[in-house]
Amino acid sequence: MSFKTLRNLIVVTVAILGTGYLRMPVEQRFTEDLREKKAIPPPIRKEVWGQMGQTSLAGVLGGLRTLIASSMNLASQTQFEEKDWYELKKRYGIITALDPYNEFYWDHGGWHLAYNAASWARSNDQLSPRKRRLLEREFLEQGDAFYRQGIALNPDNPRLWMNIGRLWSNPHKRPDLPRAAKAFKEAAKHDNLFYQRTYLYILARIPGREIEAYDYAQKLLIEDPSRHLSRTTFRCLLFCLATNPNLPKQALKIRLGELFVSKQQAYQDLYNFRALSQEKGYYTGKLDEVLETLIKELRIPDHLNPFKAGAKPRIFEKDFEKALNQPLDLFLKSPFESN
Amino acid sequence: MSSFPKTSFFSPSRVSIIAASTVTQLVRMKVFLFLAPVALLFVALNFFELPIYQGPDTLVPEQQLRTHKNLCLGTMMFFTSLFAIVSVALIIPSDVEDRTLYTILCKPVPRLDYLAGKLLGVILVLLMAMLVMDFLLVVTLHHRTTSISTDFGRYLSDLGFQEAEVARGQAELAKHGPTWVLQYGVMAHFFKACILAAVALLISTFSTSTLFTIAAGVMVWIIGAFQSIARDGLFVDSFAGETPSLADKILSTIISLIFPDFQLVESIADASVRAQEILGDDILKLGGLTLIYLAIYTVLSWFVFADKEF
Amino acid sequence: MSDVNAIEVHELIKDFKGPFRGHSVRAVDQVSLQVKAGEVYGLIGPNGSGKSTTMKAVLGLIRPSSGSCSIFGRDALKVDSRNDVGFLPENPYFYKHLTAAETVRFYGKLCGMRGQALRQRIDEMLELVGLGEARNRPLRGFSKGMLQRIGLAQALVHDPRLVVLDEPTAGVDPTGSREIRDLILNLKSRGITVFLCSHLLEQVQEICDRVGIMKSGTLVKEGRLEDLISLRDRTELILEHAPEDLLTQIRNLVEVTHGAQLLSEAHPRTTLEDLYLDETRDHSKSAHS
Repeated sequence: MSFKTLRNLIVVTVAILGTGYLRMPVEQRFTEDLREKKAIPPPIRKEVWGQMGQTSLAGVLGGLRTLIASSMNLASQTQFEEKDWYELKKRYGIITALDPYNEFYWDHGGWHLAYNAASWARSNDQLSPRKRRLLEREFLEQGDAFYRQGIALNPDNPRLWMNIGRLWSNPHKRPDLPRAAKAFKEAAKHDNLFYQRTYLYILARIPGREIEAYDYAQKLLIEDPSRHLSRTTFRCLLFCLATNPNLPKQALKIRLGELFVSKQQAYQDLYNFRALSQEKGYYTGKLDEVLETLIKELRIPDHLNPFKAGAKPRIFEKDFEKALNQPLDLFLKSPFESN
Repeated sequence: MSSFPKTSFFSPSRVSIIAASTVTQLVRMKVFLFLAPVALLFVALNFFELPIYQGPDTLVPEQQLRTHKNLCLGTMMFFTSLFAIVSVALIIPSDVEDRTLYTILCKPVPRLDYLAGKLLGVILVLLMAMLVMDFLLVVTLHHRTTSISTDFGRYLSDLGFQEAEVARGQAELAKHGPTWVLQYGVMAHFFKACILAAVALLISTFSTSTLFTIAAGVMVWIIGAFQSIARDGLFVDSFAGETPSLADKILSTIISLIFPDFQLVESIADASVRAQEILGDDILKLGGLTLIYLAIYTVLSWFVFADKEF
Repeated sequence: MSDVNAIEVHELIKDFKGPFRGHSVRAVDQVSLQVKAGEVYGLIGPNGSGKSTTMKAVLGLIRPSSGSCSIFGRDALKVDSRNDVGFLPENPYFYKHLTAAETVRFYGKLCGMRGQALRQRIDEMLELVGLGEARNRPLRGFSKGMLQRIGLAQALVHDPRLVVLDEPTAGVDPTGSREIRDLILNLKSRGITVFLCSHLLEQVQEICDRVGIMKSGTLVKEGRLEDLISLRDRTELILEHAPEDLLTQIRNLVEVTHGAQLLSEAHPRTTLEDLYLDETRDHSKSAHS
């Protein structure tokens, strides 16, 4: 190497190092700023690097993290079809490490574990019943843990809390309603009416928390009466919670006329709510007494009487009108007028 | 007889003449033919559906759009980065080998103007290519978003959601379509390609082989993707959950000082795909950093090139 | 003519580093020459004699290891000096994707020319080199001779005071060669200095005012062409029907002799080719006379 070449190399190297020294703190501040804004994902853990295949590694090193994550997600179809749950879990570990702020991957990773893998374990004839239960429980907990990892990185996202809530309130799995309630409560903090109502509904299913449910329903009513009251289930549940004899004396009594337009409407909605409650386990309070009163007042035929054998599972509006063939018995006040 | 004023050290006018010639050269070399497969890919993505097993939940339409954007931006990034390195690696050696350089340098053209003009020409071609690809991206993504949004609206209505809620859902979905936020991602990739072009320029001034220049340029591209991980080892007590050793720190220092940080670019691009709000400030900062890199590498290239003999 | 020399090379030394450590090759060794403004100077020598290196040093393409080069008094390494220079390289190669007119325009713009002046100049240059009809053809379709001519056009576009030509007629057919020769003479008549390298000694003899002969990196002979190729130790007396021994007598006799006419008295001439061969041949071989 000639003197000139060596000289040039030294000067260039020193210049790059020098400008790098000046540039580095600026870039680090910028990086930290973007990290705070969740634009930069956390560093990939060592074990995840080791799990990546060559193609994925090449893609990541080429700056194609999210693209590799997308491709791996699509390719995970194979592991799903082959029921290779542990490989699938490992895959989603890599995918979420590459693109941790995409809730879709947390959602699906958890779904594979908590639903697909757990269901497979539960129905696996090759295992003893005890092992099936244990394995199912393991996958359920893994799914729950996976969702929670996602929540840790995406605390502003309520959907993953909803997923946990749905998981532990699913009657076809191993329901744990208090656990589900905790999750729904977290989701409800995000000021979404649907999540708030979902939390209310789960509270209404947990024995011993009916008063808490009633208080929460009242809170929702105060915050946004028209939008909550537009939901039939909410109206019916609120009415039932209000009939709880254990409510404190100062609790507001709610009349039918405050929630329903007419007696016929009240009967139809409460009839349907009763059927729903039998499925979901909502608190019903004095619902049956109210229905019996309305049956007498409206002269409800037997096939629309829930206490008679052969009653319809659900009443639809047109059928009801035809069956009763009577003018609506309107309540004086609209249920949506604020006090 | 000719009489000219004293030649200035740096002339934007001369730089633009050489840049224009470089643009003409690259365009007449039909480099834009690479856009044809890119266009085909973008159009083909319109027909892409996530596998059915993913389930019909509210996140799937978003993910469809994210996948579309990821593939498009990834393609744009790959092509422009590679094009930046290869075109610079080819252009200057070809001028030397063909002795076109002699006739240029025998005119009153400072070597800095020549280098800056060549770099600017490549950057202009990159910009044109980026604009074409961006246009294709916007058109195909708009079409896709409209179609997915219609299906999504129908899906929500079938589930019993009211009109207002359906509209809200569709509005949320539209944020993942062709918005200004996505353009920041495109800009970020353009900045990255510019930096790679400047890196290739520096390497080509002392490299004796085009292949070496391309290979070295690609290495810088790769190492730049995890330069920030090395930097974390210096500024943060631990990274990836481990305390770095002395050897790690020394290596980290060298990597952090020498190589550009492309993770900043990737992060902004990824955030744009997620439809995350990116401030104009961030893209301006990135633009500023890009200009600094371009200036550093161009000046260093000139330093090496100034003494070169032909 | 200006008092400042067009080219001034003063004790130029250029060493190139060899492939092995510590070993360097001296391509040019203590070469000094001056090219006066307005003259045509030919630098000749065998392959590897240092002609191209000297030329590149004059053009600032390489940095002298020692010594200096200047163009009209300005250091050749400074960009300013190139305002006055037009260069036609050996086997010129230009951007193939450009047309003839675009090529000349490109180089004209690099020299600071613009607008109508440039457009006019492009037309003039293309007509001058006989490429007016091929102005819109891309250079990739040009023959060697056409490329040579376009090279001349770009070298002259900015009306330089000095034109440097490296093998201007190499590979060109006789007709084209003749045209280039005429063009060089035309430049000379306009007062433009021409500095050329060539292996075609007959042509150099036809057009050059002064010549420098290089061998193994040194300038072995340099001077006016007439002076170099005339043989001073020889006298040629052209007489009509007169024997040699009457030379002196004849002069006197011619003076006094009525009717006789002395037509000319001059030294006999050799050819440049003979002189070149004589100077560059190895000393072990006998000189050609």
